Amino acid sequence: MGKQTLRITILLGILITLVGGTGIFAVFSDRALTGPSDVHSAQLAKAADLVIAAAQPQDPMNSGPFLCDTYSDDLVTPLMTFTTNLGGGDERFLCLVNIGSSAVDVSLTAVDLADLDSDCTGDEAAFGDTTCGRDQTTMAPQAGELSPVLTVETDLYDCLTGSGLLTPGAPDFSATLSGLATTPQSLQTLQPNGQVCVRLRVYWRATGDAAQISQSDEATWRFAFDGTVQSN
Amino acid sequence: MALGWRGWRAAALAAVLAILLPLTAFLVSVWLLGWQLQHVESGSMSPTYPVGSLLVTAQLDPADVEVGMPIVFEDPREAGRLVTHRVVAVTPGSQLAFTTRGDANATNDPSPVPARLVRGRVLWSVTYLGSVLDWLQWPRSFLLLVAIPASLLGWLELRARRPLHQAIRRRELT
Repeated sequence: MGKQTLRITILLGILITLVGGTGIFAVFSDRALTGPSDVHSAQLAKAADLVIAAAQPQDPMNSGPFLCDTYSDDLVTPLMTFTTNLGGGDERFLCLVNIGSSAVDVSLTAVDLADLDSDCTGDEAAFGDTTCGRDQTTMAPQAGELSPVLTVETDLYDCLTGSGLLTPGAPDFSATLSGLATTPQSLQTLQPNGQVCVRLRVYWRATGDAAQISQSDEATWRFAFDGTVQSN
Repeated sequence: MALGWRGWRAAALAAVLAILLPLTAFLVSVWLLGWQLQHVESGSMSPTYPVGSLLVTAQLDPADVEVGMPIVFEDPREAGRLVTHRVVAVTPGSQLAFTTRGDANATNDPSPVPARLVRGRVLWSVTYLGSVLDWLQWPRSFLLLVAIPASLLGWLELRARRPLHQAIRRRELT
């Protein structure tokens, strides 16, 4: 390669580097945020059939009527994926319809729950987290402590009007994620062709030692809405 | 026919001029016009904008947004994260907002996009070029196009001067 070529390359390279540093390259990430699908509705006997869809409040302030997307038995894309500071959280909206021929009692459960601790940060170990970070032999994450301090708040809405169905000004139901994994939360009875919109909020709420040992942990799960035909 | 040293030098010069000159002109033009470049990292807008494409975007008045237009906006649920999706519905009024969806997505995006989060519109896209330019950003561009050629140039200059130094030294000794 000749000196002339090198000089031209350097000159153009300086220009490219300088222009590249002026901010013409926007930070771009295009992950699809189509809510749904850590949620699934079980297939039931006796003509009970729950279908689910992602919902969108028509008002940007998250109130008012809801737009329900295409219904399906189960939703497949991730529902919630976020990293949060202490006290923070995220929320998603869903529509449920009972297309079966019988009224069903709908309950909410957390299934496939996994608590992982892949990093030992801050004072986590000093506060008695004996499963802090990865196992030094297998390098696999050890047991985490996040799900007992994740609060799941559930609110029910009339999809057509957007008005709350149960407790105005307060969550209709509240439970820890680990609690939801062991004890289903009974929500509402849905008549045949009955529809309800659900808001799910998940917060990291912890204090004292529990906050310390649950830091830099990870919890994965799916929400399940189960419809059970009412016994006569 | 094999290329001689001069042939290789001419080919290298031609390659540099053919690749770097248009690239530099393109980047400088984008900079002067106040546009922005974006690299498509996921397939939510396929096949319109395949992964690896380069999007050239310009600022946009939210009042000019129409249904069917791909817009660049800041994710309402994650501050600072830019997303390019197509507008499928407009909520008019004092709280102007847009319902968006990726062309390859089965459902609309979960949150409407308020007008204040609209960042621009897509002028055009170039397949594959996004990955190339994304890879070429600082510090790679500096290393590949400035530091390495400068080192090579310095080495060539030194090598060219060595015989001259040796001749002067021989003359001094005699």
